[in-house]
This record gives sequence, C-alpha cells and structure tokens, in this order.
Amino acid sequence: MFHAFDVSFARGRRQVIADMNLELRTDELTVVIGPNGAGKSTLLKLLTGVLKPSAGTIWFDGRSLQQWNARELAGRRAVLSQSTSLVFPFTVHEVISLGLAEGISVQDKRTIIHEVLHVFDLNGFEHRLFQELSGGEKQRVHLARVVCQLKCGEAEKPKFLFLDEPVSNLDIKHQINVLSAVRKLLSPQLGAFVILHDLNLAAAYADRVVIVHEGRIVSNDVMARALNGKTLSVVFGVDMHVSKAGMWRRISYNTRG
Amino acid sequence: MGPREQHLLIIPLLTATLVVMAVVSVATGAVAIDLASLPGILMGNADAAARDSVIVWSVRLPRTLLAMLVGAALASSGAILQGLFRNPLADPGLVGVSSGSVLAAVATIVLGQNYFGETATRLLPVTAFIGGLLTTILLYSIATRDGRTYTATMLLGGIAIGAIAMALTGVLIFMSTEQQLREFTFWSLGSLGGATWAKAASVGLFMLFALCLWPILARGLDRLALGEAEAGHMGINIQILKRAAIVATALLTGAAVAVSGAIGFIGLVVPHLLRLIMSPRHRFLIPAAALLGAILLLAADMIARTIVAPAELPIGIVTACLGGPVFLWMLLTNVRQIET
Repeated sequence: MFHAFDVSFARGRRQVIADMNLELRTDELTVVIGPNGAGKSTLLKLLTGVLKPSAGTIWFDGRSLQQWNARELAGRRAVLSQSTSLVFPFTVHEVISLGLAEGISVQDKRTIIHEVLHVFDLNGFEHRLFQELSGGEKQRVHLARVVCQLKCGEAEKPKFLFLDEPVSNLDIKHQINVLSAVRKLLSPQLGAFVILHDLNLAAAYADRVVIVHEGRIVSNDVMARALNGKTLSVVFGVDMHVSKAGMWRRISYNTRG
Repeated sequence: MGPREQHLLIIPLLTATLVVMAVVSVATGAVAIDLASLPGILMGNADAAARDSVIVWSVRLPRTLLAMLVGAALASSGAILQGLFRNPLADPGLVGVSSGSVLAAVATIVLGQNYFGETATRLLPVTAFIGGLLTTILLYSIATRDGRTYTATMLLGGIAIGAIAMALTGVLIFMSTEQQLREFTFWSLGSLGGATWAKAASVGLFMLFALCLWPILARGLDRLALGEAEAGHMGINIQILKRAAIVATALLTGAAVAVSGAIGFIGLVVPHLLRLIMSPRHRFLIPAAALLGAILLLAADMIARTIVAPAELPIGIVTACLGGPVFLWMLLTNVRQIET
C-alpha cells in the first residue's frame, strides 16, 4: 500500500534519513520508535509528501506520491503533525469541520462529526473556543479532525492515518482512549502509522514496530519480536529489560541513570 | 442556532444597515434632499425638482456607490491578507501594498503627465493596480523562504517597502508642479470627491474579478489557519491559494486606491471587529467584511462631506480618527486573543 524504496533525505550536508525501505499495510498499526533526532518525524514528512526524498521513491496504492493531487490524496491519507497552531477564534465544531471534504451531504457531515466527537470524548465541546482548551483537549480536537477527513474519502479504497506523537500532551486515560480509538478504526481499508515515545504504549497497541536510529531503520518486525531488550538498550543508550507474558510485553529500565 | 452561528443574522443585518445608510447618504449633503422626493427622483419622475435630480444622479449616487465599493474592497482585502499571512495585523496599508499603489498613481500624475499629457490620468486605475500587484508580489517573495511565509519578516518588509515607496513619492513631489501637487494631496489623504459612474464601475469590475476567487479563498484560508503543512494535508493546493489571495488583494486594493487614494484602517479594523462577534470562517467573514467596510466608509464619507460643509475633509483623516482609537481599544481588550 505505502512503500518507501531506498529513501534518503539530506539537509545540507547532513544525512537525516539513509536508504530506508518500508512497507505500510492496512489493518495494521505500525508504531515508530527511536530516540530524539533519530529521523522519525522526517520519515513521516517524507511519507506524507511534505518533504521530497533526495533519493529513492515513495509509492501509495500503485502510484508514486508525486502523481497524486492534493485533494485526491486528502481523502486517502490524513496527517496529524507534532505541533499545530491555529490562528483566529474558531470553535471546536469549526476546527473539526475543516477536515470535512467538499460536496458531502449535510446529513453525512452531521453523522461524521457526531461520531468523532463521541470517539474522542468531546461531547459538549462543540461550541467552545478552540483557543481556550487545554493542550490535551486541543490534541483530541485535532485527532477528531484528521479522522473526520478520512471518513469523507471513498469507503472501499485503502486509507492511512499518520500521527506524529498523538498522545504526548494527554493524561493516561486519554492516551488509552486515543490509541484504543485508533486501533478500532483499523480495517482492511485502513492502516495507521504512529510515532510514539512511550515504549509500553507501543508494546500495548502496535502490530508492527519500526525502530529508527541515526536515520536508519534498525528493526522492522511484529511487535513481539521488534521489542527486545538488546536492541532497545543499544538504540536508546539505557539498559532496558523486556518482560514477556504470552503476547504481552512490558519494558522496564533503570530510572537512576 | 449555536452561539457562533450568528453569521446567519449578522449578514442580513449588515445588508439592511447598508441599504438604510445608502439612502441617508444620498439624501445628506451640502444640499439636503427631502427623503419623500427621493423615490420620485430615482424613478425619473418629471415632477421632481431639476436641481435635486441633477445632484442625486450626477453627484450623490455615484459617490455613495463608490464609497460602498471602496469600503467593501478595502475591508475584504484586509480579511484576505490576514487569512493569507495568518496574522490579524496584516492590512493593505501596513504591509505596504497600498503605498505601492499610491507611488504608481503619483508617478502617473507627475511623470505620466509630463510625457503623455492628460491621457495618463485616465490610465491611473491601471497603473495603481499594477503598482499594488508588484508590491504584493515583492513583499510575498521577501517574506517567503523554502515555501514558508514568515509573518514578522512580512510586517518588517512591508514597513521597509512602505518607506522606500514614500521616499520615491517624495522625489516625485519634488519634481511636481503646483497642479500635480494638489492632485497628489488627493492621493495621500484619500477622497471620494471626484466620484463618477465610470470610477464606480471600474471598482465594481475589479470586485467582480475578485469575487470569482472567493470560493478558492473561502475554502483554503480557513484551512490555512492551521498552518501551511496542515492545509496541504487537507487537500489545499497552497500555491494556487496564495496566488489567488495575492491577485484578489491586488485587484481590490489597487482598484480602491486608484479611485480614492490611500484610505487607512478599514482593511485592518473591519475583519478584526467581525471576528469578535462572528465565526472567523472566511466563507462568511469575507462577505461580512465587505458589507461592514461599505457601511463604515459610507459613514466616514458622510462625516467628511458634512462636518465642514460646504468644504470637505479628506476621508483618510476621518477613517484614521475613528479607526485609530477603535483599533487601540480592540488591542487593549483582546490582548489574550491576539497573542495566542
């Protein structure tokens, strides 16, 4: 579905991403982890077309990313960036509506908005000013907006959700809510690519884990195999221990440095 | 109706106010026209006093229409510029666009008349428009690096371009004759004194062109409020949006400045004032700004031509006297909203 072939990206002389090969599938939640500055967000920007690779190509649904026009692509993949600022006093309802495509019926709009408000625990927030919300509430509104965008696309076509640290501003309850909601959205037509910092959340929600270190993919495997103490310790530079119980993984580390 | 769906009320309310104001404007002036005789004059009724009929048809009506169109053009271009730059401080005056139009107009008066005689004056709307367009493009390219527009650079660039335009305007004043100097004063302070049907029609024509871009702008500018990358993710072609906004702003400001000189504050204050009471969605904001801009400029023009009648105050003085304090008041009461 989404394929990166030998993708590299350089900023000036600095190689930020080197020879990455990656395949994203629908019905899968792919979590990307790695230390700060490893190239996770750059990878997301390359896959979503914000940045153009200096070498290699990215394909989505049989076509190179460059061959898609912006409007067509918007119905097929939605992106939540790491930080999004909003100017002007929009209400929550208006911000979420920005995700809606042109030309869908009023009834469909209402149904979609009602649904995402419920999914992201935003009932009763519709008429509040976005600027007056807390950081976590703002994040949930943006999530509702990007999910809204995908719900407007053609139902049978494959779609992808790209989320850059979607739970970084959220309390534990909402971290669980959001990631569970993303899991519930997965289907044979929908896949998700999520950057996370919390390794235990990655262990709890990922189908597949991609570990990025110094601009390269060092591991790309199903969660249970990708999250192993040895790789994590090397990549993060901290001694990590992975406890296993069937399919479950729990990562612990020494907090005293 | 939700609390923010007031646009459903605000737009009809503004329209009704504008109609009333237009009627009052036609009746008010150095010679008062009886409201009761107005329908007769407008219908071309033979009973109407010939003098009143001439005043209404050749002075008041074109002037009222021109004031409405210029106010609408300035306020809607302010709304578009603020949306484009994602900054509530952007304004055709502050970002140097209108100074470019004024410079082009003054150059046409002074240099054009020296080389081409009186025909040059007829080209004024065209040259002022081109001046505005060139300044907008220049400012935009100065403020944009690697596909990102930097708002602080934009504002500072606007100040620099404004200063350069003013210096060049100074040189032209130095070269000008008495008559040309008087014409220049008209440009620098703004006036609707020379209103004609032709001038009103030319602004109306430019407004019609700009109106064609409204659907692109309404959809795109709302999403641009989230940032360029986000708008792109939502299917907006950023390059087309920016060009549409630049062309629309240059059309509107250029045409307005060409027929009325540099009238400040309307473009800055009107969109800002509206966002305090209605949804900032550009689908509603741009037409509401056009309506409120028309109302305010009509009011300012009535003050300008009646307060020292039979003489006339330049309208730029009136808008600055009203707009300055209103803008300060908005800054003081909405610091939080502006800073977040």
